[in-house]
Amino acid sequence: MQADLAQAILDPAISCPKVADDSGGRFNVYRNNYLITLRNALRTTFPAIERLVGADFFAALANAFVERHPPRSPIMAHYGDAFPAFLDQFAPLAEFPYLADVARLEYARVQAYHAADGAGFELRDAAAATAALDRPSALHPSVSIIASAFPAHAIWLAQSGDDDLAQTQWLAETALVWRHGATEIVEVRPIDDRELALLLHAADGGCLSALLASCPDEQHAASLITSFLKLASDGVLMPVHPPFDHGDT
Amino acid sequence: MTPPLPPIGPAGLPLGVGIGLKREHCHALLADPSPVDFVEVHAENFMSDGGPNLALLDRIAESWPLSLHGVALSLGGEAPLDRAHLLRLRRLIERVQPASFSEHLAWSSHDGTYFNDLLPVAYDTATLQRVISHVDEAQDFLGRQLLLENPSTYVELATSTWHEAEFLAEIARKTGCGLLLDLNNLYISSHNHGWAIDDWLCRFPLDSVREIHLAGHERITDEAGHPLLIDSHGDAVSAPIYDLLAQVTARGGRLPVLIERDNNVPPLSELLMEVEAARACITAIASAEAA
Repeated sequence: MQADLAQAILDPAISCPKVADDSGGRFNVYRNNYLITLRNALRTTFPAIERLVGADFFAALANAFVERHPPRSPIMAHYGDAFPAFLDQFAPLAEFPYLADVARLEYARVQAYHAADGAGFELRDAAAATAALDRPSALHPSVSIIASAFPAHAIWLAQSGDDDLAQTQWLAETALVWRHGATEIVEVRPIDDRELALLLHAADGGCLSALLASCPDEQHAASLITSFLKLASDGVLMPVHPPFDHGDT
Repeated sequence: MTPPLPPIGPAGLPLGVGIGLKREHCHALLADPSPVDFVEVHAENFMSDGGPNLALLDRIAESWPLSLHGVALSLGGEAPLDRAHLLRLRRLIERVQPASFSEHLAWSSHDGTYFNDLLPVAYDTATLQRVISHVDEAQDFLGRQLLLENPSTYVELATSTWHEAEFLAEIARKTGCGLLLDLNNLYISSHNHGWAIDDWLCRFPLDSVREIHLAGHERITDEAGHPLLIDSHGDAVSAPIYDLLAQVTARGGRLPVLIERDNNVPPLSELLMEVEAARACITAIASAEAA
């Protein structure tokens, strides 16, 4: 019986199953609840997309998405993982191919907030910083890297009210999304190819010293070290193994 | 002078008045937790892997007795309980040791789809057996008693043969679970289906109730032109719900009372006035009984 009720909620073209007393069209309350609460969940996760396409269009877009992608998990913070790819395929938005990457960025921000913790590098002094260069590293669990053929980060920033898109050059952009440790601060910033290469190397468990060995010159090496230390102190990178305590034994 | 703390009820929640904690009120209430006796949060909003959300829950649990309220276990579902979801619940319960854990007589998942809503179950014997076995399984897995909440419904199912109150009573009797009496849900369902509330309450085991919910509802007109009450949680608790609270308190004694507000969330000061109104309602009855 629940199969019939479920089907009737998912597909408004199917009339209310006989098992429910639908006098007065009351079964529609369940259909509406389903659509409205999921639309609200999408609005919460993708506010910049809603501003970019407008509230009315977003409502229709959300309805179309919900119809194609009903939630599989009860955790609403994860609902919408398929929304960026859906935007890519949604014919009426074909003229706005950057939207999917803006959505990827927004989804990554929500996931960063809920992501697991990870102990970062401790960079108390120069000796600790030098030691960090030899440690295999990993990306913090909150990290996402959004590579876009469009200035997705600049578009998102303009929609968030922090920037003026008129100054933006229409170029490919890669955005880094991460959370500062256990704090509430989720950051988004563009990264260049050098930082991207460094992050991908770190994501493979590589340590910086291996990358430095292949550097063509000292200037290049120095800038790599600066980038590494910035990413480490911002909590983007963390050591793979917790520091081993040699203690006094 | 600090007012005396209310005594603790049988389920671990204080016999006072609490609120469903909204994010916009967290900061102010954590700075001064004293206006409410306990708080309730939805478990599914705190199923993060780590980070600030869990840290916030830790702070909440340190500040008040906590009622952890689940909305997605689908105890009334035809499908087996979702073990992954039970495990997420168990982790949260182990982490914050809530005074109470409650769920709904409803289903919310079918065939892998999650409906993000509390859908109505048929009050028939097959469903009864299934809910009993799901409640047993959940209580075993979570290692504690759960409280089962009466639903608000908009349609009745044709295969129902049991009275809702007796259906809930039988589940409580067979599983040892406690009951969460949502007076707004009772009011809504009774109105929508033409039930007599007095009759419902007479069939309902008030001595198994461990928590009471109050909330606001919305009145709309259905397609046949009949008034229909919607469980919107978007308005202040209305006078008939306070009347029910007075009635139930007079019959069953003081219980932990929680005010839910999920939509059109007002400033904290407004919610705290409702907390005071609920306190006044309970106290008036308790004083009348003592006199």
